[in-house]
Amino acid sequence: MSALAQRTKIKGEIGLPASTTSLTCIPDEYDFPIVAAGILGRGNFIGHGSIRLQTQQVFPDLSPRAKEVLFKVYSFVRLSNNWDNNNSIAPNQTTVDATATFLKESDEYDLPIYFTAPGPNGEIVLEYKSGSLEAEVFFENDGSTEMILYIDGQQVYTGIPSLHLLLDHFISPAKAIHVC
Amino acid sequence: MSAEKIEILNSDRLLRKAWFTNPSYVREDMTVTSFAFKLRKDETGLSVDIERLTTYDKSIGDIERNRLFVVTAEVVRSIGLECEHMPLADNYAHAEILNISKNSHSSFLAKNAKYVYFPV
Repeated sequence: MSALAQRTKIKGEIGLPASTTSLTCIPDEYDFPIVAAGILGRGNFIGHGSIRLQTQQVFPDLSPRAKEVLFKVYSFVRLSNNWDNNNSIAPNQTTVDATATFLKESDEYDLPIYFTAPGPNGEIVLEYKSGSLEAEVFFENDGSTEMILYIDGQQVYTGIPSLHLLLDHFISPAKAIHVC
Repeated sequence: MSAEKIEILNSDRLLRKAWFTNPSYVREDMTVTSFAFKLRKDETGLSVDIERLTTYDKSIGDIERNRLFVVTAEVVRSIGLECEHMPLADNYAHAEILNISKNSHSSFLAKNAKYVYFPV
């Protein structure tokens, strides 16, 4: 693996949470031409000036709950069609992999994974829950995805899954953009 | 001759059975996931039983593998869905919830479904 591709955690002075996978930069020290960094994805550096970032390599470990759920997700590849005795379709490898990837990324932000289940048409859901805040992320067997966010049992968002939105929902729900 | 259909009242309770064997549609706290209320690809309506026309014992089917959840017709209609009595030859209580077309419909029904304590 090249140095550029190594997974690193930012130790910057910018005060934003950093993911061990969504940001990739050169280990050691590097003068980065930024004034702000987002958490949405690679190359999401904007602005002008110079901030000295020090990085260190981190090998992230999943939380115990995420490990349990991930184990369950991977077990879905062993299901056969009609697994619920009602003509269900078993999830395919692509759907399982997409679910696992999202789960692992979300766990780096300590999002409260709660439950997973396969659906009747080969889809998989990841459910997150913390008190009155809930989220469902659906991975359909045609590759499409959907996320539903709840506050006190009321749907406050239905749309494209976004780690950023999910993070806002659980960490600062009042700031999250909720559009039904 | 087809069986006579009844009008489903808002107060009618509709029973839906959910797969309970691992992997399960039922969580550990006995709430149910939206998948229990999702249509399969070949379905046009979601099968339920009208509670007052059946018994839990008959509605649950395989008692080892299923659990029952109930939603009222009022809850179903509150999001624009319809429900219609569709008696079958072997199940007069059979009805269908119609127009479920997206995950948010299934999710809403699941969130509002109550666990039926059967078997006790």
